[in-house]
Amino acid sequence: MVVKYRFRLYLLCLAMMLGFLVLVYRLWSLQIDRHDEFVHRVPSAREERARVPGVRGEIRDRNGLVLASNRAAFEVRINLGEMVSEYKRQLPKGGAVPTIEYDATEGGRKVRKKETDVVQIFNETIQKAFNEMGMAKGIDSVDMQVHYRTFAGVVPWVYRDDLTFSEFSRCAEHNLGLPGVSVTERAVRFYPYGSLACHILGYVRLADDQKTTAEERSGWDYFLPDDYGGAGVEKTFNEYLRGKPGVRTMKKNERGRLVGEVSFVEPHKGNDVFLTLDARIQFIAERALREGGVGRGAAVVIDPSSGEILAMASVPSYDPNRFIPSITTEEYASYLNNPANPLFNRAVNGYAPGSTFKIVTSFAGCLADIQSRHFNCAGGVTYGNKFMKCWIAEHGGAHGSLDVSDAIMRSCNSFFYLYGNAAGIDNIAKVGKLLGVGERTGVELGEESSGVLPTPEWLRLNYPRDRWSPGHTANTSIGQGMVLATPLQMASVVATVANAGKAYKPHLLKRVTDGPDVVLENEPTVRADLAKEGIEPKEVEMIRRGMWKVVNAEAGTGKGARIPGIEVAGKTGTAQFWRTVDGVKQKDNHTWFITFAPYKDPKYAVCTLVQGGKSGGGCAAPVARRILEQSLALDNGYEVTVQKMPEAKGSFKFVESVTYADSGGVPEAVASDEEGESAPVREASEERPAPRRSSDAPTIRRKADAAGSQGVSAQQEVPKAVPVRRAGLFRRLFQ
Amino acid sequence: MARRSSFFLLLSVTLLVILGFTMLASTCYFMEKGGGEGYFNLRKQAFWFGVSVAAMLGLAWTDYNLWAKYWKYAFGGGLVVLVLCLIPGIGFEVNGSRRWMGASIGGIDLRVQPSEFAKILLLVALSAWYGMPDVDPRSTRKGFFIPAAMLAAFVLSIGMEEDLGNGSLTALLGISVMFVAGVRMRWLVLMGTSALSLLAAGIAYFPNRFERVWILSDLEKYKDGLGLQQWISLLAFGSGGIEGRHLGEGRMKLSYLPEAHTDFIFPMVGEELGLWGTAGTVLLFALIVAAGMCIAAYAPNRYGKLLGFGLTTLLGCEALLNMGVTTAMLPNKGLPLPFVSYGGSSLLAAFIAVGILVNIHRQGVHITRGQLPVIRRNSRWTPQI
Repeated sequence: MVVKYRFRLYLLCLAMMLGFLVLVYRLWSLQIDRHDEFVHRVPSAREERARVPGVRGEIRDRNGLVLASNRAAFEVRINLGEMVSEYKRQLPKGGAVPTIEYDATEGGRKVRKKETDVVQIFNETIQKAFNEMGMAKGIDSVDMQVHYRTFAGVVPWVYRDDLTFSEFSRCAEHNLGLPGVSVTERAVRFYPYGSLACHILGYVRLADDQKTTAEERSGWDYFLPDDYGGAGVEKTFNEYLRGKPGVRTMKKNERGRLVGEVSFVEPHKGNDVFLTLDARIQFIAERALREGGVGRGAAVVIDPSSGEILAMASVPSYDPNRFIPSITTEEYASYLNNPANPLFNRAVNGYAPGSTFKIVTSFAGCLADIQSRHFNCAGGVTYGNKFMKCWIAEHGGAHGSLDVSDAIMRSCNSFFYLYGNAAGIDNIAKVGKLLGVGERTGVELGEESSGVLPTPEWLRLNYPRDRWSPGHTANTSIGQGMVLATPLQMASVVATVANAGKAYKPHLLKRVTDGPDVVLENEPTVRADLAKEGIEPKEVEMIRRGMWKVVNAEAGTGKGARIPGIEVAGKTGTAQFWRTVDGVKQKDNHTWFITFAPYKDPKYAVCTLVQGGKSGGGCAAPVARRILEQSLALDNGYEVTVQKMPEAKGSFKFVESVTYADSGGVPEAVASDEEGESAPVREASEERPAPRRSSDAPTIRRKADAAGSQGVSAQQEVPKAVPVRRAGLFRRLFQ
Repeated sequence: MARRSSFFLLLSVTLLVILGFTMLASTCYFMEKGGGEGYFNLRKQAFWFGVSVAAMLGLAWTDYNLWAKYWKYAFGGGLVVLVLCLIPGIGFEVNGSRRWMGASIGGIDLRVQPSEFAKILLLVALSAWYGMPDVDPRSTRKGFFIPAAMLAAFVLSIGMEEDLGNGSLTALLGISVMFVAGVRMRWLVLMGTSALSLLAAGIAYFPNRFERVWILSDLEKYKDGLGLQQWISLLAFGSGGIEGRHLGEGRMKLSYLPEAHTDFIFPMVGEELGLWGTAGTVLLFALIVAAGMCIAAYAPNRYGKLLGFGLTTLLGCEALLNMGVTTAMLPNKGLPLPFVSYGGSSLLAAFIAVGILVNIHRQGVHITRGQLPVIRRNSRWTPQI
């Protein structure tokens, strides 16, 4: 027994020792042989890269005046992923993370899915803390939930983008201590001159979080996207203006807590963009439109010797500062629902150009070599079964036999019916193409419309039932019917006339600089040289002469544009137009004036459009005169201080005539201007609401919904001072 | 060595307890609420340590033969507490097995794991049975069937608690004791086979048990599911290397490894103290087994021999199983590492075993030069030399 007992005891003891040996062998293989394999797979302290959005470059006018700069804004962003994980960590034992269900489509089937209810967690933690500070704000719970579903942690969610400085400092003082919340200072757009040139500058919007692509986000642990231009040159030159992002590298310990900053590469400012605009002339133009009581209209000033746009104004206008960083739903709706459409840039939208188009027709005659022929006005011309009247027929009479320059002076319709038909629609189309009518000028504004220069081809495509007739040609010749031209196009036409036939492409970009270095110098490009197309300078001179007579001859229609001491040439235009207001047709003429001055060696080419005016000579011409007079005076010591512009309110009041209080000696406008009553303008030029794409719309501040405004206390104005609790000794020692 | 068995035993135990407290402090700092500044777990464990040391001292000074008189109560009592665990209200379920029972006394939650003590009670009962003079281990009825029935009762009631780990350990212990007692091999083979088939049935019957075995073939593949704990423990071992990351520098305890302070304390040793720490731990347990076996070998009577052997095997097997699980050589089951893991019942049970072993050692018959051991056959009581 004893022996057997001992033997069995030792046997089992040996077995256990063997077990320990196996264990040691196993540990050996794990901790020595496979050490290298495992050591890299262990979560460790890591560095995280956060993208710091770049600062946008400035937009300046040609003289360097800053039209769009940056200001500091304070915002609160929340990393929802971090918020949720910290919530889970602090969850008491047995507590459950709140979840919600939502509908999703998976492989074409509708399924119910479950996910963490971030809104409730947010309300319980962060919202509560902000509430105590009196800084809480309701949130759009659906937006937050979708954001969490899409990004979890990478793109922080914007909670508040409108902190005031005192709120910001209060946040900084309290040091929050809320997981996932970051209060940051950020550069946002600022337009120091308010609504000055708002339609050109456009606005900047926050990046649409949902549209940042996975490629953009890859490589970043935190991705703060750049703002981008939503309209105007902010949008066109976005690539120049956009800043180069900075990198903030932060250290996270093994637990995933941020412990400090490792490095910070500052974001770079984007390139500065110099526009061809002259802020003073822009200011003059906008002031002229406002002071003249123009409810809706536009003015464009071009330097004829280069095609540089010196001013481009459109009323009514908006204040782009209201879009930064986001606009409330109500405010945006008030812009959108305003029938005068203040967001809309009228300078690049097509309107029936009326008699100003006769300049284009005149050039077409030059191409057809009929410029020296006389045509007789007998009060009207019969095409088919329709008698098309000249405006003089209303007053009883006829213009008689005229040559081109006299016809321009008198704006005789009959002459241009005949002249246009003699030149032929093909020549009109050809000249239109050379001058840039009926197609986009290519100005650096995305919102530009092309206008319409109808041809038989165009008619066949757009109105298959109609057939082109001499009546169509006649109507086109006087800028009525289906013709649509933008004020910018007409300014470009008159610049070509001023420049003796050399047409430059109108443009807004002067140069792009990166600090002191010039990145890009924009050279003017010639669109067409009429001399090369067979229109000789003396033929152009004939047309210029006609435009001179319009202003300076007794029988001219644009005497309202006379400036003492300066020779001005121009052409009036009135296109009849009716708006339908509550089912009642109401006269709403588009009145135009295109002009250049001085006659010899022109400096400025101007086009003005007044909607709802009585006549081109009475409404548009005085505005153009005002702009010309003050702009020309700039060279003679006239000082203009560019000031912050309030928004121009639109109106639908009928403008009988435009007069300025301080300008004496303006000849009375010709009472009876030409009116193309023979063919009313079709109503196709109804203004479309801008902007057209949702991605260009400004950032609309999300409204709080029921779930998102839980527990937000009503009083937010007077926050109580909350004493900051001193950290305990232990914390202070080890932090 | 044999004369100083108690010294080596207590030395190993002391070192292991020190290791346990160190690792507990290092691990729990991150596991508790509020940053672990209160060292709540550590204080709780210290309380249990005090209780355990008291129990050990008491047992070391009490003649172990006393317990043999009450073997029936030991047997009955062990069975009762095991069954009590199954009654809702007294016992409750943690991690899928109902091996806990608890009560709230004076606002303090007292939770004990009766199976820890039941194993000791079973060993006392079995050893006492075989220590009886009229029990011939080679006989069929008294030598095999009655003790086998006692063992089966324990194993089945632990099995009812869905605690396969403890069930197999108990079966292993019982069979080992019977083996050493000298039961005929044919019966032992029969028992071993039936125990294995019972285990197989348990694996097949209880949910998750089969998968726990299966995932060992490729842990990495299942690291997001059932294999998580063992995979992370492998990472901990592997990343520790020879030197380890040093105390407090371990990463896996940072809420990556569940139960890092209880059943999975060994990987933390591996991560923070490296191979030195783990090999040292293994060595200490080997020392405990060696010392325990010596004590058993020189015990004054058969009851003492069997009890000493049983208790040593209990400590050794628990350690082996726990370390086998954490190194992913055995399927995951909830067994603590004696002396090191956090947990009051386990610590107390281990110290009770040590206390009894020390007492056996004190009564041991040690062979000296020129002196034959005085061992009377079938004696229940041998006078102390």
